[in-house]
Amino acid sequence: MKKEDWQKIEKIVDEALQLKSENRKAFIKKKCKNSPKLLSEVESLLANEGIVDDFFDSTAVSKYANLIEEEIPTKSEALINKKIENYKILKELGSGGMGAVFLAERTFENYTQKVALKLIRNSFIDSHLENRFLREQQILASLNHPHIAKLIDGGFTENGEPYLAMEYIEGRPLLEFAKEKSLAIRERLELFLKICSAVSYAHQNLVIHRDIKPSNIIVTDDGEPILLDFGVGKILEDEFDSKKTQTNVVALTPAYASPEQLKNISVTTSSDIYSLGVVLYELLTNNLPFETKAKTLSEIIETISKNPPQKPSENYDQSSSLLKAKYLKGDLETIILKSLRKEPARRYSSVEQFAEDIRRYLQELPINARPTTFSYKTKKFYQRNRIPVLAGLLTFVGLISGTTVAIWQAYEARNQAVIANQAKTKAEAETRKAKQEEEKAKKVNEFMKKIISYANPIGDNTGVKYKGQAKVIDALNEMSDKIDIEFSNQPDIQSELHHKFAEIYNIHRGYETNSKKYDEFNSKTKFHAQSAIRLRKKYYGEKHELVAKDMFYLWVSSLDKNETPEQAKLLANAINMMRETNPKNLNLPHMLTAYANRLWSPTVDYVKKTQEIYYQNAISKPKAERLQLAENYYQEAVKIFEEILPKNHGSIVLSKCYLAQLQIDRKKFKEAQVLFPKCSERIKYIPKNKTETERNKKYKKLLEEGLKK
Amino acid sequence: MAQEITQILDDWKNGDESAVDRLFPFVYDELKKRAKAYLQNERNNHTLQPTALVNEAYLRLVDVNNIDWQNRVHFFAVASNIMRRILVEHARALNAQKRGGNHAKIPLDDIQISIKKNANELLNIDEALKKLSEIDERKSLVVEMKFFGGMNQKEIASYLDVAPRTIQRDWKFAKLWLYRELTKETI
Repeated sequence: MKKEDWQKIEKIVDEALQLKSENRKAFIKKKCKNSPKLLSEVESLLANEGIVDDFFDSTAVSKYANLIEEEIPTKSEALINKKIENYKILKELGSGGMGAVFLAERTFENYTQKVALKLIRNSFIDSHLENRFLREQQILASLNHPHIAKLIDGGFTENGEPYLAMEYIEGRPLLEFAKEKSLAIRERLELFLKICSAVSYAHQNLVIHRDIKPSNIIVTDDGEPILLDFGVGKILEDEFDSKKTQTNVVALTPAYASPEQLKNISVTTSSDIYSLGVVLYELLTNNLPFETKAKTLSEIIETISKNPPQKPSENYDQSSSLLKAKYLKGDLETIILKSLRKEPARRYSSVEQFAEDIRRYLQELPINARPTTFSYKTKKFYQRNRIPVLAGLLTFVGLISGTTVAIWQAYEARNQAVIANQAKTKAEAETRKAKQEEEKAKKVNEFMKKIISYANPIGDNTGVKYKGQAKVIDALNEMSDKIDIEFSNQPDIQSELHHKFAEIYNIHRGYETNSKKYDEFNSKTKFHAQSAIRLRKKYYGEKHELVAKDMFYLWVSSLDKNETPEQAKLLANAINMMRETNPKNLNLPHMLTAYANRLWSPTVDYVKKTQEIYYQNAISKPKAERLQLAENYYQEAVKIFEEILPKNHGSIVLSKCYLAQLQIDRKKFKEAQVLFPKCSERIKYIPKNKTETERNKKYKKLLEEGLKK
Repeated sequence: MAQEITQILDDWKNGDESAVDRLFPFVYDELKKRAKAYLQNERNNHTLQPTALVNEAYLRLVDVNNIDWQNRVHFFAVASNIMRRILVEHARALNAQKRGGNHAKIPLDDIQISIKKNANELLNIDEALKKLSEIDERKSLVVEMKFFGGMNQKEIASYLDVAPRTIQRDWKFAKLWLYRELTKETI
C-alpha cells in the first residue's frame, strides 16, 4: 500500500470514529467518493469497531497467562536428538548470555563430522542483527589458521534463529592441560607462541577476538592449542562517521579484560595483547595479576584500571615445583608486564612483537622490552584519560600500533564484497578484488611496521633520535617523505600509503589545538591527498572510484571557515565521478549530503556564508530550483544509505531528518510529515544537545502550523 | 548487576543500539522468573499484569537511586518487547510439542484445546504485528508497549516523543487493523 493511501485511510477512520455511528456512513461515502477501493478499506476496518475493544481489553500477559504457566522443557533439553538443518544435536556443551553451544554431528555418506553448534538465543532477531550476523559469519569463515577453530557452516534454522557450526575441538582447556602434563616453563612458552600466531593472524584479517581467556583455548591431545569462540569477536568497523560508541561489556570476562575494555573507551588489537598478557601471566604463575575474587564488577574495574599488577615473581603458585621465582624474575617479568600496561600505546605494538620477545627470551637473546619503572604513575594516565581529546587519540594510537590501519583498505573491499555477496551479485568479482587488496595491504603493512619501529629505539637508528620517546606522529613525520622514494615503482601501494597518511593527518588535525601544528598537519593532509589523487589517476585512470574517494578526502581536508569556489567544484566533481564509477560506494551518500547541506545550510552556521559559492557552482537558477536540487541530493543519499547500511543506521536517520527539515522549509508539509519523526528519533541518540533539540522543536512547530493551513 | 544494567541503559540512551542486545538476557530471565512465580503463588488472587511484572523486574535489576525517568521508560519499552518474545516463544514451543511426537492420537482435553487455541491466536497476533511494523512501525510499537508491556499513554508518548493524542489515535487504528488482519483468513 502506498504511504499516502495509508495516511488517507487513517485520517478518514479517525474522523469517522469521532462521529456518532448513524452519521458515519454518509461521512465515509462522501470522503471516499471517487475510490471504491478506499471505501472498502475504510468500511472493513470500521466493521470491527464494536468487537476490537473487547478483544484488546486485557493485556496479552493476562490474556495468554496459561501459555507461560504451561511448563515447557527448556529449549536445550528439547533440542537433544533433534535436527537443526543437517546437524543432529547430541548434547549441550555450555550456555551463556546470548545462546547455547551444542555438540552436534553431520553425517555424510562415509563419515560423520562432529561440530560445536552455536545457537543464538535471541529468537526474533531483527534485520539489523541479522545483517551483522551474516557479516560476522562470512568474515569468520575466512579465518583459516591451524590454531583457530574453523567456522564450518552457518545459517538460519527453520524458526529463523541464526546458528554457527564450528569445528569441534576435543581436548582440555589450556591451564588444565599445562597442569596435567606438568609442562615446564619453556614448553608453556612454546604453547603460548602458537596462540600468539593465531591471534596475530586474526588481527591481520581485521578480526579482534575481544575475549581471550584460558577457557577459550583448548589444547588437543597432540598438544596443539586451538583458539575458540570468535563469537564476541568484532570486525573492525570502518565507518565514515565513526561516532558510534564501541561498547563491549557484552559477555566479557573482567579478569582478562583490558582497562580500556572495562572502561568502555575503545577496543583495539592492543586489547587482545593485554588479554594475552593475562593468559601468559596465569600460565606461568597459576595466579591472576589482580585479585578479582569476592569483588564486585565496579571494584574489579577500579583495581584493573588503577593498580599496577602484582609482579609475577612475587605472585606465583608456590605449591608447584615447576614454577619458580628465579625463572620469572628478569626478562620474563619484563615481557609480561609490558603486555599488561594500562595504556594501549605502551604495550607491545603488535602480537608479533610480543611473540618476538618471547622467542628472543627462549633463544637467550636480549629482549626488546625495557623494564617498567614503577615510579611511572598510572594515576597520570588516569587523569589524562579524563580529557576526551586524548581518549580519542589513544584509540587512534591503538589503531596504528596494532598495524591495522594499513589493512583498512582490504577490510573495506571485503566488506563491500560481503554486501555484494548478500545480494548474490558480483560476489566473485568482489572477492577477487578483496584478495588483490589484501596482497597490496600486506606490502603496506610492512611499511607501517617500520613506522612502529620508530617508537622502539633498539635496532633502529632513526628512532634513537627520540630517545625511545617517539610518538606515532614523529614516526609518521619521519616516513612522510619516504613513501615516494620506497615505492616509486609501485603506484598502487604508493597511492595507498598517501591515502592512508592523508587520513591519519586529517584525524590529527581534528584534535590539534595549537595553531602552528594545525597548519602543519593541514598542509600534510593536503600534500598526501593530492599525491594520492595524482598517483591513482595514473594507475587506475582518470575516472575511478578511488580517485573520487580521494577527491572527497582532499575536500574534507580543505574544509575551513571559508570555503572557496574551487572546493565546491571539487566536491561536485567527486560526486559525478563516484556516480559514474560506483554508485554503491558508501562515500557517495556522504558526499551528497555534504553538498546538499551547503546548498541549503541546515546545521553549521559558517556554511551559510559559503552557500552562495555552492549556489553559483550548482546552477545559475532561482533559489527555489536550487533547493529542489538539494532535496534531490538528500533523496539520492537516503536511497543509497538504505541500500547499503543496516536498518535504522545513524546515517539513514540523519539524512532523512535533513530531508524532512528541508521539505518543511519548502512548505512540502505532507511529505515532511512522513519523515519528520526520524528527527525526533535522532534526538534520542544525541544526549542533551541543546542546539539539536531546539532545532527540532522549531521544525516541529513549523510542521504543525503548516499542516493546519 | 544493577550498576551494569544502569550502564547499559545509559549507553542505549546515548545512541548505542547494541545495548538492547546486551540488556536482553538479563531482562528476559528476570521477567520469565517473575511471571512464573506470580502464577504459582498468587494465581487465585491476582490477574497477571505486565506492569506489575515489569515494575518488579525493574526494581530488582536497576540501581534505582541512579536512574532517571527517561531510562525507566527505555527499560519499559525493551521489557514490552521481551514480554512479547517470551509469550511467542512459549506459544511456539507448545505448538511444536502438540504437532510432533506421539501425542497426536490422544484426544485433547478442554484445557489443552484452550491452550492450543491461545497459542495459535498469539502467534497470529505476532505475525500481524510484524506485518503492521512494515507498513507503520510506530503503530506496531504502540501495540507492543501497550498490549504486551502494559505501558500507559503518557509513557509511550514520552518514549516515542509524540503527543499522547497521537498514541491514542495509533492505538485505536492499530486495533482495528490488527483485528481485521486476524479474522481475514477465516472468512
